[in-house]
Amino acid sequence: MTDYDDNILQAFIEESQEHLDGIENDLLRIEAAGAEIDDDLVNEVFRAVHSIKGGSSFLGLENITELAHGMESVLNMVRNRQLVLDGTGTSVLLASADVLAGMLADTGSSDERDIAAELEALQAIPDGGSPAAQSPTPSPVAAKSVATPTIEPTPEPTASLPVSVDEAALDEALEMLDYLYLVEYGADEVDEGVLAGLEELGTVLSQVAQGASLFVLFATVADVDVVASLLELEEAQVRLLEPDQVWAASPVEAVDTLAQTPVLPVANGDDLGPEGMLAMDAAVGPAPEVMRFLNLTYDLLNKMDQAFEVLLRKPGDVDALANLFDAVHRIKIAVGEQGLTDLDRLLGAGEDVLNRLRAGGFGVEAATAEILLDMASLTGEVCAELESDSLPEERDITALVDQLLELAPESEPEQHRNGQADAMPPAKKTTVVKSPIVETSLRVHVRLLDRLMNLAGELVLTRNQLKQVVALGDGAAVERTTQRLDQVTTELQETVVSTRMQPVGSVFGKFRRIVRDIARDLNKDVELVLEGEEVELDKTIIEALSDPLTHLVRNALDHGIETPSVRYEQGKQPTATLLLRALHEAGQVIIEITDNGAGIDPENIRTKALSMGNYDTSQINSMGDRDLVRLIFHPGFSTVEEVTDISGRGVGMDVVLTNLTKLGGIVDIDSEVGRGTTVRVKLPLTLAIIPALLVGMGSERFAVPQVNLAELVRVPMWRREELVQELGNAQVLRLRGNLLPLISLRQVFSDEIVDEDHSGALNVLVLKAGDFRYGMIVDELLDSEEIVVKPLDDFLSACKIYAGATILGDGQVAMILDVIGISDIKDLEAMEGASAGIEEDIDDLDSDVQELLLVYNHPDEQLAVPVSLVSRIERIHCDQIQRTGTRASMQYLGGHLVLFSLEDAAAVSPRPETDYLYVLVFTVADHEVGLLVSELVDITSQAVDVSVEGFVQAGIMGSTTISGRTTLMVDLYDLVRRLEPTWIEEHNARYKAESERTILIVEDTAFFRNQLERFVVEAGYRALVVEDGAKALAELERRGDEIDLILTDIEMPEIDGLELARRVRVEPRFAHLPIIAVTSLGGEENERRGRDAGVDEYLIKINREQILQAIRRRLGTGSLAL
Amino acid sequence: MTVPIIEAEDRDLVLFRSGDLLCGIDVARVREINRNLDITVVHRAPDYVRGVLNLRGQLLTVIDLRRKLGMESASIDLNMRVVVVRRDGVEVGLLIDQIVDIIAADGLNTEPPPANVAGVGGIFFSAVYKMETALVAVLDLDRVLEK
Repeated sequence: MTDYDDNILQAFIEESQEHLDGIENDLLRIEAAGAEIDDDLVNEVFRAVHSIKGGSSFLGLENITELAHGMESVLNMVRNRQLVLDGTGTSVLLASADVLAGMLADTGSSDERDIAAELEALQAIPDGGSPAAQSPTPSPVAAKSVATPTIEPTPEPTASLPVSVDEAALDEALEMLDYLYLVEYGADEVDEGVLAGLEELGTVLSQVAQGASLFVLFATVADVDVVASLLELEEAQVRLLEPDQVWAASPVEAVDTLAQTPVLPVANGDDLGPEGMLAMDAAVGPAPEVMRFLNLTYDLLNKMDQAFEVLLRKPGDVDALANLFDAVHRIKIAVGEQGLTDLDRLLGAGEDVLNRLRAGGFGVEAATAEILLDMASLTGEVCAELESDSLPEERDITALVDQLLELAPESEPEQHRNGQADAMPPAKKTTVVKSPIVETSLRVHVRLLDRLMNLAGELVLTRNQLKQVVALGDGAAVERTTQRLDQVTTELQETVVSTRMQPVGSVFGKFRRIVRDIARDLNKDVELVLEGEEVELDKTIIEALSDPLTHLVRNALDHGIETPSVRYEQGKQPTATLLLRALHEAGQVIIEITDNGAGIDPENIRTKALSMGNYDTSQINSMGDRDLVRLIFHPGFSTVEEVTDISGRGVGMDVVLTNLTKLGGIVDIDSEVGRGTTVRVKLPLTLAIIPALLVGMGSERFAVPQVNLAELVRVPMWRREELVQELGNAQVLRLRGNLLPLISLRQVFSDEIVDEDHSGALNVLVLKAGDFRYGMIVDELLDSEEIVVKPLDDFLSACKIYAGATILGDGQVAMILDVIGISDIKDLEAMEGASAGIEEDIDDLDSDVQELLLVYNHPDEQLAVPVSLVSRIERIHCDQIQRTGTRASMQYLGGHLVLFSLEDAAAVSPRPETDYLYVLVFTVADHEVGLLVSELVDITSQAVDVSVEGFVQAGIMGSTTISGRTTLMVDLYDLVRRLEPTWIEEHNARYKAESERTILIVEDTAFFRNQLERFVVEAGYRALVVEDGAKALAELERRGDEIDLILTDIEMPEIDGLELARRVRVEPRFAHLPIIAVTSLGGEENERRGRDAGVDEYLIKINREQILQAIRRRLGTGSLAL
Repeated sequence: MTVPIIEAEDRDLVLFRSGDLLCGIDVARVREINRNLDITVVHRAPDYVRGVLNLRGQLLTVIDLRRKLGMESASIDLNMRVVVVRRDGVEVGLLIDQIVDIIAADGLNTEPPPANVAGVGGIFFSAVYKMETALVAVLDLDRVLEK
C-alpha cells in the first residue's frame, strides 16, 4: 500500500472510530426515548453508520461495508418509523457497533472475520424486535403519512421495482464503487435538459422505460438529498439503490418486465425484509423482488459453474478462484437479504473457505471442490423451490457446514454452529472483548494549528532578531529579545501542550454503555449521571484512566449498589444513582465516582483483615474507620464472599491504586454504611511537562514536582534545636504546632545512618504524599522550572523513588523524585500519627508566600495581582463605565474613579465585551484607581515564587506558574506610570528627597531584588543591592557612611535578616541606621522576633506603597504628604 | 551443565576491555559507541547501573559492565566509552574501559566458553574467540542486559 492509501485508511479508521464513539451513546438515548423518536438523533446515527459504510466500501473493506449496511437498514426502519428500538434491538446494534470497532481496529484482517451472526441478528430485529405496529406508535402507514406527507401523492418507485440496466454498465459502476440512484420524474418533466442535468451529475445507466420517467443513475455523490437538490427534485423522487436491486439485463428485457409488472405492485410492508417476502406467497408467481433475486442467483451460480470447470482442470488458477469467491459472496449477500438464514450460513462458511484459500495462495483440491459444488447445488435447489412458489424445504445443512468448516479449521466454529442462538452475543462479552484502541494520531482544531504556525513564525523572527542584536553587541536589546524569546517559547509550549488536552467526556461517555450492560446483567436499576465531561486532561492520562475507572465503576455497581428489592426494603429509591464527576481543583483535576449504594462497612473490613492474618491485630483494632476502609486498596483484599464476573475477586483495588498513582494521581475513598461510597481521584493536568523545583545535594541536582510541594521552610541554625527533634531514630519537624516526619535527601539514598552536617540552616521541603506530609532536607534550593518528564526504563523503574528524569538546560540529566515512592520506601507514613491534622494555614507559613488574586482579562491569560495592593473589588455593569475621550471612569464613593484596562498599557489580549465586569480598586501615587478585569478566578497563596523570573514588559513584572498555568504578574505601579505619568512625577516631586539618600537592599531572590531596586530608584533614591547578609555586612564595612537605610529580606541563606539586624545594632557606627524588613514571614510572633533583633519596620513583600511610605517615614522625608 | 552449541559462523566483533577481560560484541548489535561520559548517578538503582546519560535528548541507562561481570567498578577515565545497544527496542548503554578494535571473527576459531572462564561472569559469555595472541570473551548480550 502506498503512503497515500495508508493515510486515507488511517483517516477513515479514525473518523469511523469517532463515529462509533458517538453511536453508542446515541443508541442508548434512542432506546430510552422509545416510540418518541428524535429524528435528529436517529439521523445522526444513521449518517454515522452511513459514512462508515461509504468509506469502507471505497477502501474495499467488504465486511465492514456489509455490517454497516445491515445496521443502516435497521436504522432506516427506525427513521421511517417502521420500527421502534427496544432493548434487544439496541443490544444487537451495540454488539454490531462493537464488531465494527473491532474490525476497524484491525482493518487488515477485517474481511476474514465472520460477521454472519451479526448480520443475521440485525435482520432479525424487525421480527424479534417490536415492529411499530405492535407498539403504541401509529401504524407504519399512518406514521409514514405523518412523517413525510409529501410522498403520499407521488407514486413510489420502491426498492423492489425491477429496474434493469445494461450489465456492462452496471459492472463498471460497481467497480467504480459509485452509488446507484433511481431518479424519477413526472412524465411531463422529462425533456432534454433533464438528461443533460443527469449526465452532469454522473452517468445514466439506463432510462428504464422508453419515454418514461425513471432513470438509473450512478454518481459518486453519497447522499440522496444532495442528488435531489442538484437535480432540483423532491427528495422523495430520488432513491438510493443497492447494486443487486438492479437487474443486470438488457434494456429490452427490462421494458418487457416492466410491461408485465404493475409499476407499484408491492405493499408498504414489503421492505420489512423476510416477513414481507413471505407475505408475497399469496400473490400469483414470485414477487418481483424474488424474481430479481432468483435471476441474480442463477446468473451467479452459472458463474460458479464456469469457475469450477476451470479449477477442476487447473486447481491453482487465481482468476477462477477469485471469480468463484466473488460469486459466492454475492449470492450470500442476496440470500441474506431474502432472509434465507440457513443458506446464508452455508454460503458464509463456503466464502470463508475460499477466502482462506485465496489468502494462502492455495489451489482448490478436488475434495474441496466437491463440497463447494454440493453447496452450489443446494443453493440451486432452494432457488428452484422459491421459483416454483413454494417455501423452501427445511434442510439439514449442518453436515455440509461442518464439512466446510473442516476445510477452514482456523475459523471459529461456534459462530457458525450456534447460528441464530449466538446472533445476539451477551452484552457483557462484547464489552470485555473490546480491545483498547491505542491512538497513534490526534485530531487538532485548525485554530490551534494556526496558532502554532504563528508562534513558529514568531520564534523564527525572534531568533533572527537575537542574531542581529548579538552581532551588534547591544546588551539591552539582547535582554529585550531574550525576554521576547522566553515569552514565545512559553506560549509555544502551552499551545503544544493544549493540543494534547482532551475532554474527559471521551472516557466518561463509554460508561453509559458499561453501566447499562452491567446493570442489566446484575438486574440492578442504575441511573448514571455524568458531570464535568468538558474538563480537559492530557491525552495520555485520559487513555490510561479508562481501565482504573472502569474497575471502580464496576465495583460500585457490583458491590456498592443493591438490587432494587433490597433498596426498596431499606426505604431507598429502587433506582440507584451513580455519579461520575470531573472538576478542576487547584491545578489538578478531580474525578469522583459516587454511588448511593450500601457503602463499605468498616467492621466487615476489620473482620476480614483479622481473618486474613496478614495484619497486626492490635494495629487493626486501633484503626479508625477511614483507615479501615482504605485497606481495600491493599493487595488481595476483598470483602465479597462471592466471586463475580463483574469485578472479579478483589485483586483489583490495589492495581487501581497503583495505576492511578503512576499517573500522578491520588486516590481517596469516603464511605458511609447504607448511604454510599465516593472514590476521589486527583490527577495532574498533564504528564509531559510539569512545573518542578530543582534542589541540590552536593553537586547533584534533583527535581521535585510542584504538585507535591506544600511549602518551603527554612530552619535557621539558631532555631534548629527548637524545630527539629529526634524521635528515636527518626527526625521530626515541628511546624506550626504539628510534627512532620523529616528525612534528608541523603538519607533517602542510603539505608545506613548518614553523618550529616549539623551546623547551619536547614532547607526543608514540605512534601505532600497523598493525604500525608513530610519534610525533606536538601542542601540547596535551586530554580523552579518547567521540566520535560522522560520515563525511566525498567532497570530504573524498580528503584521506586524516582518519577522519571529530565534533561536540564546544560544537558545534564536530573532525576525527578517520586514523593510518594520515597515515603513508601522509608515508611514515613508510620510516623504520621504525630503529624495528623495538619491544615493548610496560609497566614503564617514559614516560607516565601505571596497572596495573589488571580484574574482574567482575556480568558486565555491568567493574571495575578498581589492581594495586599487591592483595597476593594467591585462588580459593575458595563453601563456604569463613563468615557471621556480615551479615559474611562465610574461613579465611586461619591467621586470619580479612573478606570484602566490592562491592554491600554500592557501587551496582553484585550478584554472581551461582557455585561458585567470587575474593578480592582487600588492606590498608586496617592490616587485611587480601578483596574478592569473580566473575571475573578481565585485567591491563592503562592508558596514558591522564589524564582519568579521571566519576561518583563509594560505593566507586567514577570511571569510565574500558578496551578499549572503561566500567569502574568501585573505591575499596578508600572501600569499607572505608563498611563498617567504626570501623577507619578508630581508624586515623586512632592517627596523628592532634598539630598539623594542611599538605601542598601539585601534580598536573596532575584525577582524581589529587582522589584525593590526599581521601587527605590523610581522614588528617587540611590540603591546598593546585595544578595545576602554576609555581603551586606561587607558592603556596610566598605561604604557604611554613604548608607542611610537598610531594606532587607528576613529569609536568606547564611546570615539572615534577623542576624544582620543584630550585627548592625551591635556596631556603634551603624546602630542608628533604620532597618526595614521586607518579608512574607507574617504573624505577630515573627514581627516580635524582628523587633527584638532590631528591625524598625516589618513589611510584607511587593507592597510598593507601604515600602516607600516606610522609607520616607524612617528617613523623615515623607512627612508633608502623610 | 550443558554446553551451549555455538554455530560456527563468521561475524564482526567489537573488541574492548572491561577490567582485565578482553570482550567482544557482535557489531550487528551495536548502535553506536559514545564518548559522552557525563553520567548522572542514580541512587538506589541496581548496583550494576552506572547511571543515566543524555543521548541527544533521550534518556539512556548506562550499565557498568565491570559490575555486571562481577568486577569492581572503576572511576571514569577518558578511555572509557558507552557502547549503545538495543534491548527489546529500547537503547541501553554499556560502560566499557577501552575500545580495542573491530575484527572479523571466523567461526572456526570460535568455541563454547570453557566452564572456568572468568568466574562469576562466566554465564554472560556465549563463546570464546581465539585470536593469535589473546582470547576474546564474546558477550551474550541478552544475558548481560537481563535485569
